[in-house]
Formats: sequence, C-alpha cells, structure tokens
Amino acid sequence: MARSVLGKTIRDGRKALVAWTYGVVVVSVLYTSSYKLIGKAKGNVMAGAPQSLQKALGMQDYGSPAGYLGSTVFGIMLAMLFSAYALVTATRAVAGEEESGLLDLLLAQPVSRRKLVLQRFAAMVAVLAGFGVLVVAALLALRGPVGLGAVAASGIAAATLQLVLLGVCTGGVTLLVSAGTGKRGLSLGIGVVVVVFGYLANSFLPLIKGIGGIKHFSPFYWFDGNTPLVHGISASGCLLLAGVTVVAVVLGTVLFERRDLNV
Amino acid sequence: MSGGEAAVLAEGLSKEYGGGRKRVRALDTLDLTVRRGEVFGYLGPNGAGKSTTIRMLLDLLRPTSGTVRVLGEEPRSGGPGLRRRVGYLAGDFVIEPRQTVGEALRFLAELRGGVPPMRIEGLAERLDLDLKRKVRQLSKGNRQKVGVVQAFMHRPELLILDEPTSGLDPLLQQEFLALVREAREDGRTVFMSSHIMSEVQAVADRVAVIREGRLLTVDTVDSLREHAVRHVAVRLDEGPEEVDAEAFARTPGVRDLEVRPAADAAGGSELRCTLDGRADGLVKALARYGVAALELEEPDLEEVFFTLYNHNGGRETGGVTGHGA
Repeated sequence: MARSVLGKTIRDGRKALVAWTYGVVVVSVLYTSSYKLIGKAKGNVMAGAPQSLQKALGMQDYGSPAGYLGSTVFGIMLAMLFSAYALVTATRAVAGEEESGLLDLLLAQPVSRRKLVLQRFAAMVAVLAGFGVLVVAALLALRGPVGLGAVAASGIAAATLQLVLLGVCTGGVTLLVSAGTGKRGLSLGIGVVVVVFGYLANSFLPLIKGIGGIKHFSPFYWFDGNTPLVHGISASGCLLLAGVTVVAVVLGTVLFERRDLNV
Repeated sequence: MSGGEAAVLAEGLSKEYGGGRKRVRALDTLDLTVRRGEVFGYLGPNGAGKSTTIRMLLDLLRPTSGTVRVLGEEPRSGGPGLRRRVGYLAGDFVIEPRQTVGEALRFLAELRGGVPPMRIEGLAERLDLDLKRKVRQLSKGNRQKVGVVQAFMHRPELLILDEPTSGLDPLLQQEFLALVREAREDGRTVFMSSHIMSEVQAVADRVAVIREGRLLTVDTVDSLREHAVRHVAVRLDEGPEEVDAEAFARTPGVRDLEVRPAADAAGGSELRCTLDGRADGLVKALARYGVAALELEEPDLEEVFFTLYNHNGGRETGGVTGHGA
C-alpha cells in the first residue's frame, strides 16, 4: 500500500509522459547530432552579434564542444521542458485533482494527506530523474560520433543532475502553492512566474546596470551559473535548488494538512 | 474503539466558510447521535448542510467549532486508521476517467489493504456494472455504481453515503437498498443523506431533518409518519346537501375539507380532507352517515418534511394541501 499512490500517479499520467519523454529525447538527440552541421555556422553568426545578446541567449561560446552543448541541449530548451513538466505535474498533483473533485475519493481512503503529497512529489522526482537518465544516455552515445568527445562524461552528468534539480525545484515551489491553496490557476500562474523570472534573472535582467546581482536569486543561475559541463557539480547551486525544494514541499504539506479541502 | 460508542456523535458542530463579510454559516451547532447498527437517514434539501456534515466526518473539512466523533474517534486524529473502517460515497462521485472500472476498484481496494476480487465481482454483478469498461465511457448512473461498489466492498463498520441513489435507475435503487439492509443485518451502521424521502423511508430506522444548517428534528420514520398529515377520501351514500360540512370542519385535526357530489352521479357524495394526528374525531363524525368507501393515504416523508418546514418556518400547514398524489 505504501507506494501505491506513487505508482498510480505515474501510471495515470503515462500517455502524457510518453509525449514529454519524446520531447526530451528529441531535443537531446537533434541538438547533439547537429553539432557539425550548425555548431560552426551558428558560432560564426553569433560572433557578429553584440556581446550582451550572446550572453543573454547563453551563446557566447557556440563553437567549442562544451559551449555548444551548454547553449543548446542544456540551454533554454531542456530547462524549459523540465520546468514545464514539473509545474504542470505539481499543479495537477493536488490543486488540479482537488478542483476536479478527484481528491475527495482518495482522501476518504486510508491515505494521509502528507503521504499523498509526498508520494506525488516523489513520483514527479522519479520522472524527472528518468528524463535525466535519458539525456545522459543520449549524450554519451552520441558525443563521440558527432565530434563532441571533448566534453567529459562527468560534465554531462553534473549538468544533467543540476538540470533535474532545476525541474525538481520548480515543481517543489509550484507544489507549495498547489497543496497550500488547492487553487489550480494560482498554482500554474505562480509556477510560470517562477520560471519566467528565473530565466530573465539569469539572462536579460543582469544586463541592466546595478542589478547584476539579481542572477543569484535565479534557479536558472543555480542550475548553470557554474558552467557544470566544464566545471562539474556546483555544491552551492545544488544545495540552493534542493534547499528551496525541501522548504517549499514541507511548507506545502503542512498547509495542506491544516486546511479544508475545497468543494 | 469500544462497541458502546455511538457510530457518529456531533456536539455543537458548526462550520463556516469564507472570511469577513462573505462568511457563510453552513452548519449551525448541530447535535446528532447515530447509534451503532442503525440505518440513519439525513434529510434536507440541497444546500441544507448535509454534505458539509458528511465531509467533516471524513476529515475533508474541519469544524469551525464543536466536536465530532466517528466510531469514537476524532476524524483528524483518527486519520487513515479510522477511514479504513469507513466506507464513503461522495454526493458528487468523481473518479479518474483514464482507467477501466476494474483497475479503479482494484487500486482503491489496494489502498484499503486488499479486498477479495470475488467481493468486487459479486457487487459489480449485482449492480450490473461492467468491470472492463473505461470509466470515461460510463453514464452518470454507471459511475455512481462504481461509487457504491467502492463504498461497500471492504465491508466497513460505518457507511457514509451522500445522496447514494442519485442517477441510479429504479431497479438498481432497489438493489442498493437491499445492500443497505444487508449491511444492517451484519450489524454495520449506515449514515445516508438524501433529499429524496422515499429511499430513506424504505430503509432508515431513524431520520434527522436539517434545513439551512440547523437540525429540525430527529425521529423514527414511524413516528414522523404518525405526526404527519394524511389524505382522506370518503364516499358517502348521502348527497352533498345532506352532509353537515361544518360539523366536519369543526372536528379536531381535519383541514382542507371539501364535500362534492360523487363523480359517478349515483346520488352519493365525496368528502375529501387532510387529517392531522388522531383519526378518532373524524371516524365518529363519519358514523352518522352511510360510508360506502374510505381511503386513507399514507403520507410520504416528502409531506412530513414540508409540514415540519412550515411549522418551523412559522407558517401554517395550510400551505400543504391535499393534492391527492
């Protein structure tokens, strides 16, 4: 019984999960295998663009193997896919099912609210970790043949771990709203705000004079601020992502345990 | 856990929703005792506070004030252990549509620590429910059957059923009532809400009637019926001009009197009225005449209900007239 909510959560979402998985794999494989084709060309194009725009788009270093992967696979696309999956899933986990009336049935069973939230969170983490494994597998398989062999496996693993944590963190913060309020729209809205702010605070906003430090508050900076493909795991980045997640999930669970279930 | 405890005990139970000026009192100082082993009907119109009460029994809502005990335990501290002993059917039963009925029931059974597959199959067969169909393809009535099966399948000590027969066709309503009777025979307790009187009337031992969050009365079905108005129709041999209508009208308990020529024009008359309480006065008044036929219609709870309403609302029962239904 202990893990049945977790398993059921994943099984119920399996059709959508196929689509998400497809997205993750396609982004990883297409970007990686296009290195020879577009890496150099785009690198040349971007070299002509203003320094600030390159920086904002994370494309300062398009030509080098690590720079290419950092600005494509580990650029906006996968970060957005992981975050989007997390915020959609976390919203549905409590608020979505609560508003549609599904939660009534589940919580009238011998299932505690805490267990429900934690198992659904665990299901989300498991899926994000699974996405991470796929990304690592795709990159490790393709990096040699396409000429990205210079990127260390440890770098790929570190970047992927931080990518997974970024998704988990987005999901955790969204789950705080989802479980804490039971309001689907609010949960989605705040999740989107966190992602958009996080992205902007790590790209365009620091270009404004005087607020360069804003990036330190962005989960996206915690994810790729240390260029993990080159420098490996960032302890502070991982701790921040994990710490915010734990606080958010614990707080969300406590609020959920205390409140009325919406009708 | 002691067997002597009431199945449900509410004391001064109140629930308010919202805050500030929009605060609404959905339930107002409810006192209620449901004994172990009885079938208890919880009646009231939509919006009376029935579902609010029930959701507090399951810890889906928390009381604003007052206390509630289910099988001797407070719903919140009782938690999953308490809910294992309870079966619940929500008023608006919703279930994940992307699965078959069988999958849904097996998952719920698993959450409850296992139910023999035979038990699920047996219930599904009785209710004519196909376990292989997808939930999304089910009609409202068939979805409701899933709700009934999941509430009964683990043979809980206490069944809490919110509008259980909504959407079920009459044949299945009978089957459902049979399930309720069997539960009682097993010594289990059934607490069921309804705004339809007949289904409660058919199975309940006692009935509570609530309206606008307040308890109007708790009584046995028999006693409620006894205090209710009855429709009387008498066929007299004498013509209307020979019948002393005023004498009847003065008889205690007689209301809405009407005397008219018999429909078949054979010379007799037809007397119709409603009777409140004892029949003695009316029978004695009738004894002066030749009584060809006498019909006394049992009231249903619907009328009992409206009579109660009107009394409590300060209006006279005159509003409830004999429509001969």
